[in-house]
Amino acid sequence: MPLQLYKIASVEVGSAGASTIAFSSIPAGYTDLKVVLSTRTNYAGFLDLNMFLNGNASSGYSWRRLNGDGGSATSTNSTSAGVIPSATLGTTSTANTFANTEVYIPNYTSTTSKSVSIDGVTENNAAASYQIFTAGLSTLSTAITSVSFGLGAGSFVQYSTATLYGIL
Amino acid sequence: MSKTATYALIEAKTLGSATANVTFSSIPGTYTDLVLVINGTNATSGDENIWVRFNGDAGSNYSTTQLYGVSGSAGSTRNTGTGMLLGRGGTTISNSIIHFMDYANTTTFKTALGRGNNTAGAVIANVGLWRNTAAITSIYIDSNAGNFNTGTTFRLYGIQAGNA
Repeated sequence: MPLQLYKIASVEVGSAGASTIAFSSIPAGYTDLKVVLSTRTNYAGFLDLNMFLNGNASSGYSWRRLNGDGGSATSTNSTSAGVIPSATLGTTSTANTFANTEVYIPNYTSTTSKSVSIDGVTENNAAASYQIFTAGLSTLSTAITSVSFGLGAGSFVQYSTATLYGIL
Repeated sequence: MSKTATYALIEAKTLGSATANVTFSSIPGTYTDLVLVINGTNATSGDENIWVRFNGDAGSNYSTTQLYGVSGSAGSTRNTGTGMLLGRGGTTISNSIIHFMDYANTTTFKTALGRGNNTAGAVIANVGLWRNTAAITSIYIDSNAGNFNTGTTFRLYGIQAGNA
């Protein structure tokens, strides 16, 4: 049986840091997309890791997020959002620790809205840490050609990585 | 060259009309785990659990623990009955990603992890147990209410453990 999970591209942030991690010119030859990220920022605290599609970081998204912080579980949502959020770590988190995030987008070339699944963890050897399950929706009715991740403040630090996979 | 773990598409289904349930049968036992990806809408219901049965077993041999988030609240529930609750759907396009671990072994009961994503209903993370040691050879998929709508896709992948 031939391999049907293909690495399309990967990014590793260099010493200068990066405000955004982006995959562009995504080929249309797969069925689903999967992105796996390992991220840390230079912001003093936790930040939302904001995903947006085809360069649109202003509108057309809704999401529902289930959060666990080690003490309680909460659910938050937005019906009119500019991005779809997960979370990442900053400078006040345990040293050398990076947040892990997995994004799955089925049928990314379809001409209907896109449903997104995001799982994230900001493991931190301290009282504050988060596990996040996000359901996302984009009203984008064309194929996804770029997937980007940004921050509300600060930058991704060196050794943050992201890998984009196509699944047939 | 040694094999590498990857997704291998076993079977894909795209609904040409609204359908109450879907079955994958004659699942080969040659993989290590299975992954089921569902993407689409429910024809009538805004938010429903998607559940599965294995090998035609309609007995009360299933249990599920669910962690959920809905508008304004989060919680956990437990279900025992004739199906394993592993996904979520609704009239808003939603997806479910379900992992069936070590599905072909004939020694242990079978477990599964399910993520369901309905932005207009619930985001869920579930774990399920089928109290049967048989290898999984068929998966029946249904919804608590409403039909799976036209255009909904179901893709079943096999994942083969890599060799040293």
